[in-house]
Amino acid sequence: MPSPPPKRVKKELKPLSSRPQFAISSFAPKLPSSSMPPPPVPSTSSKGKGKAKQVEVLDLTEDEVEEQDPEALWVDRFAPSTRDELGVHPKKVNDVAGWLDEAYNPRLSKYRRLLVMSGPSGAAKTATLKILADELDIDILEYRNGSNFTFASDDSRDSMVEQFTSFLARAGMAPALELGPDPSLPPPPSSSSSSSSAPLPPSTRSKRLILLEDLPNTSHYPTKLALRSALQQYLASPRVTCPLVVIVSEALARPGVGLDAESTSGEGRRGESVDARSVCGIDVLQAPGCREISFNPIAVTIMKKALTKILDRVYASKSSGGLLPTSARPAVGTLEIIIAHSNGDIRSALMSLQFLASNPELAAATGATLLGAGKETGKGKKRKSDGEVKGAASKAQVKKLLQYVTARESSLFIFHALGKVLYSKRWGESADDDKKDLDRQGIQQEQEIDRLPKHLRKEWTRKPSKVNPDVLFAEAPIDSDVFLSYMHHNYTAFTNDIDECLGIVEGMSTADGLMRLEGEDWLQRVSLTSQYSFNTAVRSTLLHLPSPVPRRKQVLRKSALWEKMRETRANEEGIEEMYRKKDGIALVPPFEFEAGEEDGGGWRGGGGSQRSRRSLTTELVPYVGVIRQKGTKGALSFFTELATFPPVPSSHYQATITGETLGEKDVDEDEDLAVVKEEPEDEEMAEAEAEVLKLEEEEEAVGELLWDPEDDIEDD
Amino acid sequence: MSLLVDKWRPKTLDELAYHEDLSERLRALAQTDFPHTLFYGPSGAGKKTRIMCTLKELFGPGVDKLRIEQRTFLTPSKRKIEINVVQSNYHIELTPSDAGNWDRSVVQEVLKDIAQTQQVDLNAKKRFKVVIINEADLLSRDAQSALRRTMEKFTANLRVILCANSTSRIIGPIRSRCLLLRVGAPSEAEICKVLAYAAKKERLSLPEHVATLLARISQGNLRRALLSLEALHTQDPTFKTVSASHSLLTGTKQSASDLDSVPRPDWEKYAGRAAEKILGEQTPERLLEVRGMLYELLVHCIPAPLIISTISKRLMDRVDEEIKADVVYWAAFYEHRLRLGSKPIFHLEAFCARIMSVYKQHLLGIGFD
Repeated sequence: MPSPPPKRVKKELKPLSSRPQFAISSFAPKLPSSSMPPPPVPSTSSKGKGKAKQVEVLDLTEDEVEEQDPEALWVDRFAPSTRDELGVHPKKVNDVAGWLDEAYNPRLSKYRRLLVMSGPSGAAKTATLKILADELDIDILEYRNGSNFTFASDDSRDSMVEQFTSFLARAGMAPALELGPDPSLPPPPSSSSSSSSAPLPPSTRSKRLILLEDLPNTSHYPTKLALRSALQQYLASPRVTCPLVVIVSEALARPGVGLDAESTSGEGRRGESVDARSVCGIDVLQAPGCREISFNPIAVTIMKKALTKILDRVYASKSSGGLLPTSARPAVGTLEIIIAHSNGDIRSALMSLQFLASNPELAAATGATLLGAGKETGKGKKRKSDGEVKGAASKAQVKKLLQYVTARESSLFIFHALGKVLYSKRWGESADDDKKDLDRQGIQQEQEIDRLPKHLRKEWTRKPSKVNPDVLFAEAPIDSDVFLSYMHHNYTAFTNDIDECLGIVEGMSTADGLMRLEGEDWLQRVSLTSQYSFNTAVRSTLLHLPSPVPRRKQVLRKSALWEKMRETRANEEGIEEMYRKKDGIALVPPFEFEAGEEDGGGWRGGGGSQRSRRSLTTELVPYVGVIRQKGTKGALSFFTELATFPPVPSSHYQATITGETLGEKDVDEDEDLAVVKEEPEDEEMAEAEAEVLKLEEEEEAVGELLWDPEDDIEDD
Repeated sequence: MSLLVDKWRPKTLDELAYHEDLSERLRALAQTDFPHTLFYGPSGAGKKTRIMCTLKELFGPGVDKLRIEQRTFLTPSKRKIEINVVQSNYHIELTPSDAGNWDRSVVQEVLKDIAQTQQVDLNAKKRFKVVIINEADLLSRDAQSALRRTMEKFTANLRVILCANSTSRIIGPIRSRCLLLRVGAPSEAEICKVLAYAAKKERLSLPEHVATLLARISQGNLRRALLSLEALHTQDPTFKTVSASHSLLTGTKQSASDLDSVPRPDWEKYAGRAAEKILGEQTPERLLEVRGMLYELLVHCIPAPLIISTISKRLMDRVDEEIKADVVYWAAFYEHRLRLGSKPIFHLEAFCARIMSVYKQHLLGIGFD
C-alpha cells in the first residue's frame, strides 16, 4: 500500500500551508489544465508540518489520482477551459476573439499584427488567450527567456534581446512550416519553473501566433529600446506570417532609489511602472497594425461567482467527488474578504482561498466570526479548542490569519498615504470619527501614545495622533524621496499659517539634508537614511499641521519637482550644446575664428579660456539676453529665452497649487506615462480617505471597493 | 561680433589695469622656473585673464593658437564622460568638476597624458607644459589627492595652474605645493577706470556717475560691470535714464524702484521681486507663490546657493536693523543645508518660510510696542 508517490508529485510537494501565499503566487503558472472532476481526498489536509505528513496524505489516495494531483495549486486545477468559465467580461473576450479572427483573414492580417493585452496581474489575460487559441485552433508559439543560461561559451553568447529579436524574425517571418523543435527557440525553460508548457508540441494546425509574455528586462533602458525596435520591425516587415501577441502584466513598480539628478543623470534609476506604454512605447502602440486591449481587474461579482463555483467543486460531498468535507467550507464572509483584498486579481484570490482552506479550522472560523454571533454556534463546533467559541481570542485569531493572507494588499497608494499624513487626524477631533477608529487596524490607538516629558508639554502637546508613521513607512508605496516631494508639493493647502508651513518645510529640509548619499557605500545606507528622513519629515508634518486640519476641498496634485528638474537639465544641456557649437560665439569666449589661420578647422585665435558654468548661467547668458535683443535666431534666441523671466504676478494674485491631479491609483511620478484619472474634485479626497479606512474595515469591506463592478467595460 | 568683455580683454601682463604688483611678480616668476600656482579670488576679479597673460609671458604668442576639443574619458565603471578641453601647443585647460563624481579619473588621465610626453617643440621657451584646472575648489577630495600625487611625480614635464574662488576647499597638501596668488576684486575706482577704457575703445561717452553706478552694483566683479555696461548701452545708448541722484550713488535709503532701475540681469531682478513678495505678505498662499518663483529661477539654471544669497542681499537692503542678523544667519544655515541635500527647492522654500516667520514676528513685536 505505501507506494511511494511518483516523482512528479514529489516535485510539486511544496508544503502549501507552510508558505506565505504570496511566495507561491509568484511561481504560479497561468496555464489552463484540463479540469477533471476532483478526486476524493482525505478529509483533513496536513497542517503544514512538512513533507512527511503530506506524503502520508498522498499514500491514502488511490493510484489513479496521479493525473489529478491533489496537491496541485487550485489555480492550475480549476483553470477555466471554456469561454464561459472565464472571469472576464464577455465583451473583452469577444474583442480578443474578433481580433484573432481577423488576424488570419488575409485581407485584414496586415492591420492585425500585434496585439497588446495589458492589465494587472491575475486579470485572466493569458487564460483568455489560451482558451481562444484553443477554440480557434491556433498554435501558440511562446517565447521564453532562457533561464538556464550557461556562461560556458562566451563567444556564442547573444544578449537576451538579440536572442529575442532573432526569435521574432525567424519565428514570425518563416512560412508556416511543420514546426519541429524550433531551432530558434531559446533553451527551454529550466525544470525549476513549475510546469512546462511553453513550446507546444509540434502540431499540424496551420494557424500560429507568437506569444510574448516573458518580457525581456525592460527596466534596462537599452534592452527596452531594443525590444521596441524589434516590435517595430515586426510591425513593418512585409514578410510576417503570423500575429504577435504581447501580454503585459501591469505592475505598479516602486520607483527605485530616487536619487538626485546629478548622480543618476537621468538614466532610469527611478523605477518605472510596467504598463503597455512603458514597455512597448507609444510609437508601437499607435502603429496601424497594433491594437491594445486592456483588461480590467476582475469584477467582484464575477470573481465571486467563479470562486463559489470552485468551492462547490472542492467541498462537494464525497460521493460526488468533493475534495474536502463540506463542513470545513469557508463561509461566504471569508470569501468576500478574500475577494475584497485581492484587488481584482483572481489568481491571488484563489491562492489565498486555497491557503485558507488548508487549515479548515481557521477557514470555518473566519467565516463564522464574520457572519456574526448568530451563526457562530453552528460552525463553532468544528473548533476543537476547549469550547472557547467566540470572544476576543477567536477574533484575534481571524485577524491574525487575515493579516497573513492579505498582507500583500495592504500597501497604500501614494494618494492615500499622502491623505493620511496631510489630514493628520487626531483623537478627540470628532466624536464620530473616534468611535469609528477605535481599535481599527492601521490607526494608532490613543493609549499607545506616550506622554511628553513635562518641560515640553506646554509647547508641543497635541492631541494624540491617529497616524503611525512607522506603519506608513512600511506601507508607503514609493520611497521616501518621492513621497517627500509629493508632500512638499501639496502641504501648503493644509495649513493656516506661515509658522505651520515653516515647521513642515523645515522638517523636509532637514530630511533632505539627511538623505545625503555619497561615498562608496551609499547604496548600503540608502535604506536607513530614507527611513530616517521619512520619519523626520512625516513626523514634523504631523506635528505642525493645524489640528484639526482645515477642510477646503483640497486636491492632491502631482509634484512638479521632477518636471522642473527635467527642465533645468534640458536648459543646462542646451547651454552645453551651444558651448560646443561654433556659432555659439557669444558664449564662447573670444575663440573667434580668424580667416587665414593656418589650418582652419578647429583653430581659433584670441586669448581665450573656458568659462565656468556658473558665470555662464548667471552672468553671460542673462546679459547676452539683454544685449542681443529678441528676434535673433538660432543659438541666441535660446539665450534670450533663458535670460528672460515671466512677469511677476501682481500682489492680488492668489497662488494655488498647480499640476496634474493625483489620481488615486497613481504611483508613478513620470507624467508622460501615468494616466490621470480625473475625478470630481470635491468628492475625491473624502472618497479616498474613506477608502483608506475601508481597506482595513472588515465589516464594510464588502461591496464598496476600489473599483466599480460596472467598470469592467470600457465605453469604447 | 564678440562681447565687450572679450573684445578688450588684456592679452599681456602689461595691459592689465590693476594689481600692478601682482603682475610684476608674475613677470618675474615667468623668467625663472615657474612653480605650480594656485590663483584664487572672487569671480570676475580677472584670474583667468591673468593666467592667460602669464602663459603668454611664458611661451609667447604661440599660446593664442587654441583649439577646442571634446575629450572622452572612461571611468572605472566603463562609463564614458565627455569633457571640453581647450588647448594650445603649450597648455591644456580643463574643468574636471564638469565630470561630477568622476573628476578623479579625468584629472589622472589628463595629467598622465601630458606628463608622459615631453615638450616636442624645440623652440618652446620652457621645457614644461601647463595644465590649467578650473574650478579647483569644486574638485572632490579624491580628485584632489590624485592631483597631489601627480604634481609630485611629474614636476619635470608639467606645471599645474589651479584656479579657484577660495582656498578653503582645497586640501592642505595641494596648497602647500602651490604658490598661492590671490587676485582680489578690483576696487570701485579700478572698475571705473576699466569701464572708461572700454568705453573709450568703443567710442562711447560714458558719464562718470554711470560708471560709478555700474561699478557699485557689480560688487567687485569686473566681468559683470563690463557686461552691464554693454547691456545698458544697448538699451539706452546715451545713458540718460540713469540719473546722477540715484539712491545707490547718494547713499540714501534705497527704495524698491531704484533697486530695480539699475541694469541687472533679469534673474536678479526676479529674485529681488521674490524677496519683495516675502516681505509683502506672510501666508501659506504667498509661500506657494514664492515657490513658483524659486522654481522658475532653478529652471533658468541659477545655482541655488546664489538664489539664497541674492534674495538675502535684497532682504538686507529692505529690512530693519533688528532682524538683519537673523536673515544672514538663516541664509547661511540653509545654504549649508543645500550642500547637504539634493533637493534645492526644499531648502530654498524653508529659507523663505523662515524669513516670513521671522519677519512676521518682528512686525507683530512692533505693533505691541
